[in-house]
Amino acid sequence: MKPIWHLFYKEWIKTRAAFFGTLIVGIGVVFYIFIGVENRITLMGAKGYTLYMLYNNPPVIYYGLLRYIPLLAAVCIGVSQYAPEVAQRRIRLTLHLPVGNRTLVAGMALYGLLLITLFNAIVLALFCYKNSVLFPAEVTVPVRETLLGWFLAAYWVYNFIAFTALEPNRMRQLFYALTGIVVLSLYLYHVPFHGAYSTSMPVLALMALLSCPLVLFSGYRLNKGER
Amino acid sequence: MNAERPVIECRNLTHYYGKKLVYENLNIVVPEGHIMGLLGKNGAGKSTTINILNGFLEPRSGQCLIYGEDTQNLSPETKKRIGYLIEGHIQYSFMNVHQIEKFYSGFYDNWNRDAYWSLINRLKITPHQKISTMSCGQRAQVALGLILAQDPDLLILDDFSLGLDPGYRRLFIDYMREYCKSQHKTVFLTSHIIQDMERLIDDVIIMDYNRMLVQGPVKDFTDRFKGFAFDLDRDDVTFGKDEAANVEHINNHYEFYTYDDETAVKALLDAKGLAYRNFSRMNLTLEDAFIGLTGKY
Repeated sequence: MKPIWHLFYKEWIKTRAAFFGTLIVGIGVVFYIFIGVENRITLMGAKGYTLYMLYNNPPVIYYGLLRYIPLLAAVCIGVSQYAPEVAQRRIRLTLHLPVGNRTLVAGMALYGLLLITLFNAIVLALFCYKNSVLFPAEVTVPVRETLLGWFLAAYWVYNFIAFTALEPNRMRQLFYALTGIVVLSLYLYHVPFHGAYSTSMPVLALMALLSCPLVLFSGYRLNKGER
Repeated sequence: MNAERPVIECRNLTHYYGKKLVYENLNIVVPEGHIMGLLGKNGAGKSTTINILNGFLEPRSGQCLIYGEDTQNLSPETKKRIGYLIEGHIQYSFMNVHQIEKFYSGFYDNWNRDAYWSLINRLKITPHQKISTMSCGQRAQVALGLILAQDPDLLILDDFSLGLDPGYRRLFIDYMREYCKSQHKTVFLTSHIIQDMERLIDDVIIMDYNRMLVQGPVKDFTDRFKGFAFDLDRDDVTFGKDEAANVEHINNHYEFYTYDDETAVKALLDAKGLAYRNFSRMNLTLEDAFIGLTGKY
């Protein structure tokens, strides 16, 4: 276990600024959203605003600002983690460590996924808490489902950054990046109503899960010296 | 007995980049306790060999073994026995001097942090100085300190002199030579500065495009390989591959490189009906011999 903690230590040094930076932005956005909501409640009254939010067409997506926050975190964490490894092919230092190459690549990816999970958990928990203080379950449950889709996108994005970064061939990198971006639109497609992802959530979760091992393929190709 | 046990063994190594042949059927043996230098011009396949040895490149055919294990699939136990210095002393530049020592210490059972800090304390840097702010010479000392702390049995040093000024190069070489000889370490290294290698290595491999020209003790090579200088009346004389290892000339002044002795060279010139003047044997350093063998360009 000791080598894995030390590997995580290296990853933490690279990513901590990106993590804290995006976490501050994420928490700031949550507070900003609810400052706006509380202002409207003051103006319209709690009942009036709730009815307006539920029955207005198109529905009021008061949390829309959060849509790109998990993506921002995933991009910042992924880039800060993999860019220094790719620069000057520094990944050779990592692959030379006395641990199996697959374990090293998987360990780096696991770290990134755990950090994104921590980010998601903090921001989502804060949002859900503040949401539950103001709104009934009829509102908070579908809102949570929409948010989950957006937060799942962070895993997909992170996995594709890792997959693309370690790929040694430029054309393949371009292809992976474009594929990642095109598929990402599925996660961000349903904006205009609450509970948008209630039916597609299992598929999106499965896609995010299945994208996790992709980095091992790039790691394998890198290790073989493919060009 | 132990001294001759092979640490590195490459058998019939063949590699191509696309359709371009790098080398074919290359065989390398580095015995335990030897310091082997790999020399070759740019593009001769030095980095390819280093990458195959470190398991970062799969050869088209053939196999490299380190401590009997295929380099494409080295176990963590064998990796622990190998110290690797990347060309340009590349390190984790986002770490500082303290962090990098702490990071590596978790991977090696016999980590000797005192060896690292005693070397680092010689530098005018603080433990919290980031590696990205260091000069190449300082980075070289950090890399060397990490290798000393790891205490590997085999060191692979890829172009270790790149970016170092003469003082740092000399410091690095003297430290390395003393450490390797006293601890009976095996070293496989490349460098573009052959004068540096000459101070360090026991054995040499000289590679040319697609093939190996020399493998063996440096002394054997420099004793056997000779250079003769002479003037001819003409400036258009050519010699066959079977007559000389290489011939360079500027106008009618010729430098003739061969494994033959002076008598044989003079006999060759006589046989070709070439009148020579100012015939002399050149004193060749390893660098002179390398250039003499592989040509200036």
